[in-house]
Parts: sequence; C-alpha cells; structure tokens
Amino acid sequence: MSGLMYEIAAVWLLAILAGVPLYATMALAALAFVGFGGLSMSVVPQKMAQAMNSFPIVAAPLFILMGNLLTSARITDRIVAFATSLVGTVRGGYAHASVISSMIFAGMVGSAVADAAGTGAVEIRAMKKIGYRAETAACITAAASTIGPIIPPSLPMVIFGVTANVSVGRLFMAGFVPGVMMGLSLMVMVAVIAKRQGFPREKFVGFLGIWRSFRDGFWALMAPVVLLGGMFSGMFTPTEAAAVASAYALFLGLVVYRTLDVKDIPGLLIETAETTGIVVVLVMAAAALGWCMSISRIPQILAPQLVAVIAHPLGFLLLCNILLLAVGCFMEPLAALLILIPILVPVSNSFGIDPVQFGVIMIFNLILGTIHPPIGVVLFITSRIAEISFETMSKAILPWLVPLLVVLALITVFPSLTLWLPNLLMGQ
Amino acid sequence: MPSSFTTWFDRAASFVAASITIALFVVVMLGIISRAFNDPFIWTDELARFLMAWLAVFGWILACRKRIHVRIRYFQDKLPKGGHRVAEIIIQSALFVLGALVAWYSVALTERNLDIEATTLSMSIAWLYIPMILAGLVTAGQALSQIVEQCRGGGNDSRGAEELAR
Repeated sequence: MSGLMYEIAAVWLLAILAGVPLYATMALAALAFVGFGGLSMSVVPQKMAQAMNSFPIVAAPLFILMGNLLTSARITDRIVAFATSLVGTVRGGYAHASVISSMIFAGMVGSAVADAAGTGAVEIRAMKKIGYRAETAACITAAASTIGPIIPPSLPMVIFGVTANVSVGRLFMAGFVPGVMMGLSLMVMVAVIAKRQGFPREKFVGFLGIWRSFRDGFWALMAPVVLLGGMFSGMFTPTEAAAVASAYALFLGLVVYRTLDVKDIPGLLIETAETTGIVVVLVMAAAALGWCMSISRIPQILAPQLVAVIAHPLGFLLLCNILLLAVGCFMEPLAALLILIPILVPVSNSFGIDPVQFGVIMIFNLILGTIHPPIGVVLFITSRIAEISFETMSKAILPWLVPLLVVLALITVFPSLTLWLPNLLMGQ
Repeated sequence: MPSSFTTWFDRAASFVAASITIALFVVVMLGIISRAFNDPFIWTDELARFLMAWLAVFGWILACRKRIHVRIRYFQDKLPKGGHRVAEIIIQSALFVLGALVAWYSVALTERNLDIEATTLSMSIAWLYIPMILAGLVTAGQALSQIVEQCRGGGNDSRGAEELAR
C-alpha cells in the first residue's frame, strides 16, 4: 500500500498547487487512498470527527477566543506601551518594543497568528506613524510573532505532546530558552537595521513614566504568571490553561480595565468559531491522511532506510530541518504535525534523539513556515495591517528569517539549549 | 441558493457557532472549578470533546460560506480569465465530490454508532458524527452554487478573503 500512498501524495501536492483548499486536498487524498486500497470510505469521516474527540484540541478555540478578547479589549496596547517605555529611548526603540511585546504576549497566547493579529495592529501602526517603512514594521512584527508558540503556553506543543506521547510540561519548559534566544536574536537584527536605516529613537519617558506604564499594564503583564503558575502548580492542565486565559482576558476587559463592550462579544464569538473552523478543519483532514500514511507502513519502511543511510543523529536533524521548512511552505503547522509525527518521531527515537528536543525543533521549523511564502498566514495578516502587498512582504521578510534560522541551527546542534531547563526543574 | 435562505442559514449557523463556543468555555471552566472544590464532574472532558466536534464543523461551515478556507491561488491567478474559470469549476467539482462523500459515509457512520453510548454521558456516540453530515452537505451545496455561478459567468472573486488564513 505504500506505492499507492506515494502516487496519491504526488497528486495531492499537485492539487495544493492547483489551488484546491488545503483541507480538501488532504481529505480527498485520504478518500482516494481508502477507495483505491479497498477499505471502507467511512473511515475518513470517522478519523476526521475523531480528531476533534480529543481534549487537547479544545485548547485551539479557547486560545483563539483569548486572542480576540485581548485585542478587542485593547489589552495588547498596554503591553506594547510598557515595552515601549522600557526600550523606546534606544535607536529603533519601537522595533525593540515590538519584539519584547511579542515575548510577553507569547506567555499569554499559544499561537503566532493570535500574536500577529493581537500585537501587530498596535505595533505596525505605531511604527508607521513615526516613520518606519511599512514593510519593515510588518516584518519585525511578523518575525517576532513566531515566538508565540515557542514560549509556553503553546498550542502546537500540546498537540505534539499528546500525539507523540511526550510530557507537555517538559515541552513547555523546553521552549523557554529557544523563545528568549529568538527574541534576543531579533533584537540584534533590529539594532543592525536600525543603524543602517536610521530608525528614530523616542524621548526617555523617565522612571516615573516606566512605572506608570507598568502600573497601567500590571494585570495584563500578570497573565503569563497566572497561567504558568497555575499550570506548573497543577491547578489546571495545559489545555485548560486556554480556558483560564480566556476567563482572565474577559475579567480584565469587563471588570478591571472596562475596555471591552458586551455588545462586541457575540461578534468575537463568531469570529472565534470561523477562525477555529479554518484551523481545525485542516487538523481533521490531516488526521485522516495521517492515519492513511500510518497504515501504508511508510514510517516502518522509511525508518530503517533513513537510519541506514544517515549515520549520525545530527545528519537526521538537519535533514528534518530542510524537510520541515519545505513542508511549512504548504501546510498549516498543526496539520503538518499530525501528518508528520507518526512518520518522523519513531525515526528520531531510533536515533536516540530526545523527543522533547525533537518536538521543539519540529514546531520551530513549522512555525517559520507561517512567515515565509507561499502560504505564510502571518505574512497575510501583517501585510494587510501594514497595507502592503503580499509580494512586497514576501521579499522583505527574507532577511528577518536569518536570525531565526541561526537560533534553529543552535538548538539543533546543542540539545542542552532545549533540555537544560526541563531537566533542571523536572529531573532527567 | 435563494438569498433569503442563505441569509437565514448564515445567521442560524453563526448563532449556533457562538453558542457552542460559550458552552465549550463554560464546560472546561466547570471542570477546573469542580476539581478545585474536590468534587470533580466526570462528564466535563467528554462533553467538551463533543462540543469541540460541533464547533469545528460549524466553524468549517462558516468558513466555507465565507470562502475563507486556506488555498494557494498563486498559480491559478497566473491563468487567463477563461482558464481561471475552468480551473475554478474543476476545483469546485472536487469540493462537491468531497462534500457528497463525507455526507454519504457519515450517514452510515452515524447509523452504526447509534446504539453505542458515551462513557460518562447518557448520549449516543453518534452525536460525534452527525455534524459531519451537515458539513458534507454544506460543502457540496456551496461548491454546487459556485459551479453554477462560474458557468453563468459570474464568479464572485474573493481571492483576498480566501487566501487570508487568519
């Protein structure tokens, strides 16, 4: 059946390029596989529905809801204002603040898309207003938003943990250092470009100004503390953290800051459902196709061949980086995870690679796909906010991939960068 | 499809989707709160999963109606107008086939699971598969209406919306 799967995979790729909606390409490929393979076609809708019959996936709509609530209640403004008061005085201060805001926001939401939509609207407009080029402002925001799913909480980490049977808590811990490295590497890039393009610097607001912005944004800044504290103290699971995050955002918007209008809530709920539909239908179709790949025995055939050809684990990880970056060009990260985990994780295990390190590498690669063409969902969002064409954005983003690729190379070569913190706090 | 029906349908689907989102949020919070009070409700996890299946399908339906599912239109957009239209008819035909097959086989799936009860809820497992029938029917119906639209020479070009994956 693996021969049939290879043929179907080729047609599937053609269908993607031809413009068939991505979820439909996967679902049709799965239907073709079971149809030509003489299996019952009921398996496909069954696997699609079963993909939703999983508690961790519940985090998806709840994280989306939280992002929508934070944006609508303009809580993101307070985070950006605090970050700007801290580093605004440096050349390119707004750009640095954008990166810092994304790092803080990453501790609240688990998705790059929510980060870009949440902080992006505030940051891009602010940067454009003080003279940044639209594409530069959009690129900084887009690149910084990829920190979202790396610093916990993280939806892709929940999905990876559950699918690959790896501790979600360890994965969350493993994301801290790479997430901070991403932020720092982007700030180095900002510093270089700020000097070259002559980015403006803001007047120092004074320590009182910093204190005021901290006080204004205190409850918003406490969100990561509440979420991570609750998760690691065992009060709620990583999946439930998404619901707590939404409740916290609702509380801030309605009670603390009173910036959320009750009349806006129905619209936010519908928007949440629509975005959920776009994302999870990909997950549903990927689950069906992933099952087809499993029963076609591709992982069992591929694993020994790869182990025989590639002698060193590092060689395998480099190959995975190339493969995953290419896959990220065409697939939504959660869908790609569901298809590739059954194929790659067993091979990675046979090389003796720690599944926590492999999970972070896999997620990192796929998240980079959201900021490079042709799909790059984050590019679409930020280019629309910045009011520039997708083509302009696609070209402008390329230099911003460099610092992130450097971090990727570092976490690939040095496992301690991902494993040090979970080993320290949770034991070997 | 007649516009009054589609307007009614879109409003109803939006209302149901918003209601399920609230229900999902409340159920997950109930699980956390009941556990905090040392009296955990055992049904919250399972109910949340059922609601998730329904929310996913209603989200799928809304995205389908608004034509905002993710697709790469780069190569299709390079085609001349006639070629673009033919390609769109082929794509919509594929979507029609998909919708019809999903709906048809979900009916069989639902029938087979009618007698199987969920673990913690006194309801049939079939409730997990029923929304798939609806999703299949809407996908097929939407595709059919777009085929007709393209054949008539209309074809509402919503490239921007379709490419936007949120």
